[in-house]
Amino acid sequence: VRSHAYRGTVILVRMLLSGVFMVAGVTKIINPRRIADDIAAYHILPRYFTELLALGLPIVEIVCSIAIISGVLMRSAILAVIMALTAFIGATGYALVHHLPISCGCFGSSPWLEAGPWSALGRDVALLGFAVTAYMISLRNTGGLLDPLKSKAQKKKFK
Amino acid sequence: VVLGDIKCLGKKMMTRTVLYDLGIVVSLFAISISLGVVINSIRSNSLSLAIPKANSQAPVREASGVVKLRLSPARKITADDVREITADRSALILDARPQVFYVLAHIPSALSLPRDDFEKQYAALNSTMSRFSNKPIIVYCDGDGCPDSEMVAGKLLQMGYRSVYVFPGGWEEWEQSGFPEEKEGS
Repeated sequence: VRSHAYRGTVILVRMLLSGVFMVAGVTKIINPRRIADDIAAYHILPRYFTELLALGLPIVEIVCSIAIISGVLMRSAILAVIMALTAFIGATGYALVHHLPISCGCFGSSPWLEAGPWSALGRDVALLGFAVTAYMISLRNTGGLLDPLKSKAQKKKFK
Repeated sequence: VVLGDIKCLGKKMMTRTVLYDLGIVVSLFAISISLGVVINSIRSNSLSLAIPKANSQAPVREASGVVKLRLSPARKITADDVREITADRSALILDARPQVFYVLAHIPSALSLPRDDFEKQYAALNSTMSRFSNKPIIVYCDGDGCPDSEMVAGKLLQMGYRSVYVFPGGWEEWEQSGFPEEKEGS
């Protein structure tokens, strides 16, 4: 039987991932031009793709946030979050290696949420750790529901 | 505990589950980008996509149309022309790329007038710009296919500047020619 502490931790991880990605998505969707410029500053993608990414990424983040907290297609949403965080870490590492004077662009046009590249890298690595753990837990629960309380069938399985 | 549980799942089932998830993720990205483009087309502060010239849309056509009135194909500005101008300072050179690129490196003596922040930066450059109302102004951006220089040039022509030219090779051609670069603060 899983303990209350285990279930509580799982729900906290879901709330954390969902909350961070909701804030990131909403702040980005406000000003797509700013996001396109922030992505372009990394010098990784051609201009046209940076603009498409600037339009699509906020929606991906918001949809993932809703999926993670609601439990609908949650496992796939966590995988999307893992892929996004891996890309963010790669891009921030690239910017650090090439000494690019970038703003991370992680939270759109909200300067109060912006971080330096090292802080952004640390935050993304920590979130990636949580996301990978959450994905592994949800892989074990083959029904795809991370929260054991979500499904009666899964609840029985745990007992 | 989790890793132990996953080992019990069986490789085949785990692979199928991960592949299923990857399919959902790819669909999610494709749908989100399509939705983003649709939302962008109806919002007021929309992003004008820098679509390659083969599919060029209104903003590029409008700007180049204005520029062609002033700049015949025979008088296109090349990197060599711009280099001469940087030596004798006979024209004002404007960098229309987002300011972050200008800060990284730009053509010597160029000033930053990004398309995205035109109004604010123009106000900041007002005294310099007024001195060049009857003198040549050269605008550049990333390189072939970037619309920013033509859009800034178009705006300047509409504002009454008479000799506005575009350096179509832009930063790419300048850099490839090995000409000197200037960095912010240097």
